[in-house]
Amino acid sequence: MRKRQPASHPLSSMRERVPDLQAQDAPAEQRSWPRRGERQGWRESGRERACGQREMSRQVRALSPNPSPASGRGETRLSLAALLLVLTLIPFAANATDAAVITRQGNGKGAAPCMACHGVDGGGMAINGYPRLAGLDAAYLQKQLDDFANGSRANPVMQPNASALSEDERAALAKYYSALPLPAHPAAARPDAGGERLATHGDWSRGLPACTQCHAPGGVGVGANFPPLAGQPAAYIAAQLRAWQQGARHNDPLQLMRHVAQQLTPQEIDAVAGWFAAQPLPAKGSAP
Amino acid sequence: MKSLPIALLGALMLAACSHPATETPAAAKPAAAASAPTKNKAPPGFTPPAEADIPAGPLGDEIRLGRAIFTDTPTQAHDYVGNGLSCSNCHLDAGRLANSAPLWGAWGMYPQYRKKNGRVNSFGERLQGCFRFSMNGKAPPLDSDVIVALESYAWWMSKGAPNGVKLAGAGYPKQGFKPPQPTDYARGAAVYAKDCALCHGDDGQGQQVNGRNVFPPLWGPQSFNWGAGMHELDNAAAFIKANMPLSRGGTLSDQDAWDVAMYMDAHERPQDPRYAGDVAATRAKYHDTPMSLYGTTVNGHLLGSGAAK
Repeated sequence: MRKRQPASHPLSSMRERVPDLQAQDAPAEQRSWPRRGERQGWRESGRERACGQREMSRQVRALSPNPSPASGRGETRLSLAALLLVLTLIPFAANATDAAVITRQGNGKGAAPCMACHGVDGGGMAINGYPRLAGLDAAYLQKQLDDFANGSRANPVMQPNASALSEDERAALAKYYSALPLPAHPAAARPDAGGERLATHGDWSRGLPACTQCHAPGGVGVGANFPPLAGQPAAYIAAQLRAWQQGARHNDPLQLMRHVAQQLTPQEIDAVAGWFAAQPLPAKGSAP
Repeated sequence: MKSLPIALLGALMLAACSHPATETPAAAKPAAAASAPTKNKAPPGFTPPAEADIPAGPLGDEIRLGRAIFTDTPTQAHDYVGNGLSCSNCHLDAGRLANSAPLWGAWGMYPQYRKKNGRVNSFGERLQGCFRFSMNGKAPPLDSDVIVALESYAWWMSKGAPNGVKLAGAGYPKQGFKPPQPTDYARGAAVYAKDCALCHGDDGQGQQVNGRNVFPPLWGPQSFNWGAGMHELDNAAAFIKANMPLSRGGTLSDQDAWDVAMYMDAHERPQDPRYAGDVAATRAKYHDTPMSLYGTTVNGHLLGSGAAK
């Protein structure tokens, strides 16, 4: 009897790309996926080439015998039975709600391992503009995953990944990352003074409040709706401001960010993003 | 020959699990859908100097101290503040913003006779009132650092403004601002839930970070007391209409602004420090106006009778 080979497995093409469990201990530079040279900065614009995840996701979807989005009740029951069976047969399939496993391996259903972009410690990857997730509010994180899945936050990398996660998995991941300790934050370059002024004073002649009026002094964030900006990659913050300006991101309550972002010049966006990127993360143990 | 069934089952599983991806994708709305706030018609009657123009030296230091007190009152004027509020919570842009009771609109209007206390008040005495009522604290002495620094800041900000003239943008824009229909608590609650709770919380207690208000409490023990101007409906409605939600001023309808002002001011808050022994007597003496709900019964509760300690 022929042994089950990875090559014959329907998920094998994905497996090649997904780091093995051991990879979690390997330094980021040695991990095979995603490949550094190929990775694009975090962009909310659909014009940018998506990195490996989207390609992977497309391959995975192509395996589906039923490309139609709708799945009836009967099909769901069948799929559930299939799911149970497959879970018993596939040794590397992740437990559906084991967030830690998903962050390292993906969920085996098309969602890539989060740590590939957001880091082993959830600290993000500043050079590519991938945001820190560790220590963010769980409800905020879950809303963002839900919004990627429903399209109110557009992003070529995150949309397919969030969509491939079940609601339970999204909730579990949000909880997992919110509970991670804040990672060490390397000192950033000295930001320009214009950014500080806008961040801490706003420009009320244009109806612009200080960013810190809602994101808290120092940009440490408040509750489920005003995420921390302190220490997030400048490229990430700037990309979000542009996404609001251009409408690619429109999941802000009361249209607060759309309204604010529309008034900013490109220079102001970069300046204010640079200032927040350089702010220290709140001290460990303090309640952000 | 297990590979084919496994392939099929795996594919089915993937089809099932990719289901959320295709469920009612929201159509991207153009950013322009954000409605532009209605601008107050009259341009501000005065433009204050830029903060960068505060002079160097001891006078500049006093002005800067005044600004610091204004924007972080509980820290900078700790002995005189009984709640977590800062002046800049109701006087936006550090007291510079038109239609948000800017300091430059007030400075030149004092000394002024005030019905509130039946006397001619200096600007410093007016500031004392803020501490006693809005900050639910106690009045700093007129020659204290706190009052002198705040006066210095207001004086500097008003340099060049005409003296004794009511300027466009002074105070809150309540001239001719009336509710189309009588205010309604239930409608106000709905407006609150939709447009205010995001920042001020479902319970109106604001949101705090590291023990400091980011969004101020609107009622309850940490808010302004029953003697503060903001407990009067016309002040609150005009402030809200012009300035709330923050950065989206002018977007609420007149009716919504009045209803939500009534909702806010129909909650308990700290007792009026001039409390005259009972609620009815205190209302008769200090709050005998339809703009105050103090001493009236809303939803079966006599406001002022359970005043937060």
